[in-house]
Amino acid sequence: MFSFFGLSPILFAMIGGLAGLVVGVIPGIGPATLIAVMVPLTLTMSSVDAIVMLVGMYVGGVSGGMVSAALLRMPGTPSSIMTTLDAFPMAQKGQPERALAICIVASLTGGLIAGLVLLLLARPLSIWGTYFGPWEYFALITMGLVLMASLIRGNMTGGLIAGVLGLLASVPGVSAADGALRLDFGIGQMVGGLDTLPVLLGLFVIGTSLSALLSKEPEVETVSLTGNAVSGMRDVFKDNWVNLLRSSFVGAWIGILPGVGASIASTISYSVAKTFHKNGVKFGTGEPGGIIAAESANNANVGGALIPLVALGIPGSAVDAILLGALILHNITPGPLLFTNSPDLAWGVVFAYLFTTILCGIVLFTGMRAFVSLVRVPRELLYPIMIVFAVLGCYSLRNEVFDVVVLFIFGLLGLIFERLKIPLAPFVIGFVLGGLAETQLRSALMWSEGSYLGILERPVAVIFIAVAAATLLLPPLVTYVMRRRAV
Amino acid sequence: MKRLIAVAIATVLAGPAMAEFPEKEITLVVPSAPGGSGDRVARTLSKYNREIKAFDQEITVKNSRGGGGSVASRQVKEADPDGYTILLLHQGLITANVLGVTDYGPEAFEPLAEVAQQCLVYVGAPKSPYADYKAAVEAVKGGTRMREAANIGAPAHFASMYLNEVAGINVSLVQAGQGSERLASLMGGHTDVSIFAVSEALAYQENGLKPLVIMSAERDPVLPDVPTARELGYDAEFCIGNWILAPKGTPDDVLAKLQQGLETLMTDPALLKEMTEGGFKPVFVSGDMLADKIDAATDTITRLGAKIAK
Repeated sequence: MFSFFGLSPILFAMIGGLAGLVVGVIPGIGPATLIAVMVPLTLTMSSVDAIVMLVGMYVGGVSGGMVSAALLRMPGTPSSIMTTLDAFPMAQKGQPERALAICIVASLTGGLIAGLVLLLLARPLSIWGTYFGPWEYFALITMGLVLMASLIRGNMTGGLIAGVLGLLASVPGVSAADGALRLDFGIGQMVGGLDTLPVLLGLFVIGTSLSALLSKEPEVETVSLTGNAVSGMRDVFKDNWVNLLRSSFVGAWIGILPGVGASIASTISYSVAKTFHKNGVKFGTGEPGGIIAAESANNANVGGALIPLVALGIPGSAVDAILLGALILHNITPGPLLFTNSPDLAWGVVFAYLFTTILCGIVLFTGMRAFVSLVRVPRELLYPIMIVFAVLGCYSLRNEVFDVVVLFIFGLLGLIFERLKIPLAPFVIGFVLGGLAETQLRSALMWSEGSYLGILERPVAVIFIAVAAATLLLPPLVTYVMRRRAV
Repeated sequence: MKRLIAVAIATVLAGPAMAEFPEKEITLVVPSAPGGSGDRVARTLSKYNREIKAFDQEITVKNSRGGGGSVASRQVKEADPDGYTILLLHQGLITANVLGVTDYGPEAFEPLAEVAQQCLVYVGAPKSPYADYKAAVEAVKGGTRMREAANIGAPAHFASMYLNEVAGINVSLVQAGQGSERLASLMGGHTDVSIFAVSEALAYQENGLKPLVIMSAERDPVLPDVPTARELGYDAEFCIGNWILAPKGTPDDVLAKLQQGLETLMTDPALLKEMTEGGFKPVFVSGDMLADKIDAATDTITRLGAKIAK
């Protein structure tokens, strides 16, 4: 815990936070892309430096998304889509500085609240997690997968297709449960299965870059900052206390659920706020409450999603899946013993999150004008550079040409997904959690000598499965009953 | 004329081999991520080679994890047999073949040397009631169900099968995975026993694990109170070997040079000290002795593997 206060991790967290901000501001490149590109480059760094830097990038990336969302109605990162709904109209009304100030304060508050939750909950959860056996893990992951499916907004079919394809991609190679080989298609290199990082690099870097290069670059107007930042701050603290707190907790809570990321968190928080806020009907026209709901939730979600990662070794979102890959690359086994065996790393994640949250708030506030000019960076110059980095980095992971082939195959898949507007996150979650769920189920069955009823000996696991079943069955049931009543 | 050209070509081709080996860096491929046990052995060799110049060139470590070591072994098997790409691997080379993960085993390589051993320790969970391995065996024979946290298919799994076979007991395997995951399973009380390398058992001792028996020829100086299997009357020895292997077809003179260089390295007192402190037992076994050792391991693992298949 104490080595985190060394100079080098603080420096790397700073670098990560700033790099994340810059990339977050530039429309189209999100934290997932940045982190995926950077993971191979961290190979030569110490594991603590590497992880705090990547966490910094995660925080910075999600924070930076607000700028282009407010000024151009282009989400800088996928998680700031909901921010565009009210921040852009407010900016159009001649108050961009007020809109940005609301975004910054909401982000900072959401981040700090989630940071507090992370600080207070991660360690106890990891202690509790030691008592999680294979049945509990299997049930928890199943619950996460079901919740993710039920929370997909918009393209439901696409999301489910992506999730199932992700599950399928976790199958090939030597089974982690019994060492048996399957679906290797006779290709020697497939024996190791599809390695996480080449797949994610392909989807997030190659896929998104190709897709962006193929689509027409939108015209970016020059934006001048007008309006009043102080009035923005007043908005937050005048009528929106409840909204701010509720949205932050909603964001953090959705983060804790395995597999559900910041985009879904801000969507849900926004619709909750729209229902309960006294100005809810005016949401979408430049209402401060809407901005607050979206921006506090997406930042809080990042902190929440780190909790299952450090406490249980289960990724809370697609970006956390990449962080998980980074941990394994550094020969660190994530799981409930992370706090005991690598305390500097586990606490490093917690403090890097808090530190970069505060850092990003300050930097955005003081450097607002500089960041506004970043939205006009010509992106067609950045994408080729990122593709080159992805290829080199991917090869350096294991010195396997095959990994580069995997990179391009999944790059192509990513491109197809982007074109068909299929979300990438369910694929990643299916891919990462699918393998975990399978291994845990097989272990659980070994534990109870092949009997599925063995789960009944584990009450916590039963509760998780019950929640999953309720999530799946209740909404259609309620709709059915309501319809019958209406008839 | 034709013959002349053929001779000329042969001369050109033979040219590089005639020069003194090694002319460029030697790549040592390891199956683990940076920080893994094979990686640590390889990096120690590389580090001390830089100091004492056992080889005129650098030894570069390449990490090629995945597929139970097969990603690394395949790379070296398919590399040019010129001595510049060599492999560091353990019994996983045999287990992968026995389990059908690879279609080749040690016969696809020229064994150069064994440089380090990690003997295995059978341990009880912090809350396990067994004072020693004998007590555990008695309990199982008396009808108690004992759950073992396993990494199925890995050499350590074969080691515990071997031990329990000699003791005549059957344990219930619960798949957990690599060392730290097996530790988590023991700590959570989900399993009663597991097997670890000495270095792991040492590192995890503060978690309250109870070492029951060690599968080495003699007691280990770092765990002096833990009896060997043989002392308890079970003739089961199993140490993970760190073997260095070259691709089949590597010229004899190159093999000899590699072996010589490794032997020089393995006499450096500073290197031996660093390995010992890391929980490895430095050794130097080569030639027929090593070939016999690998054959014996292949026999044991093949026999045990047939039991898994049943």
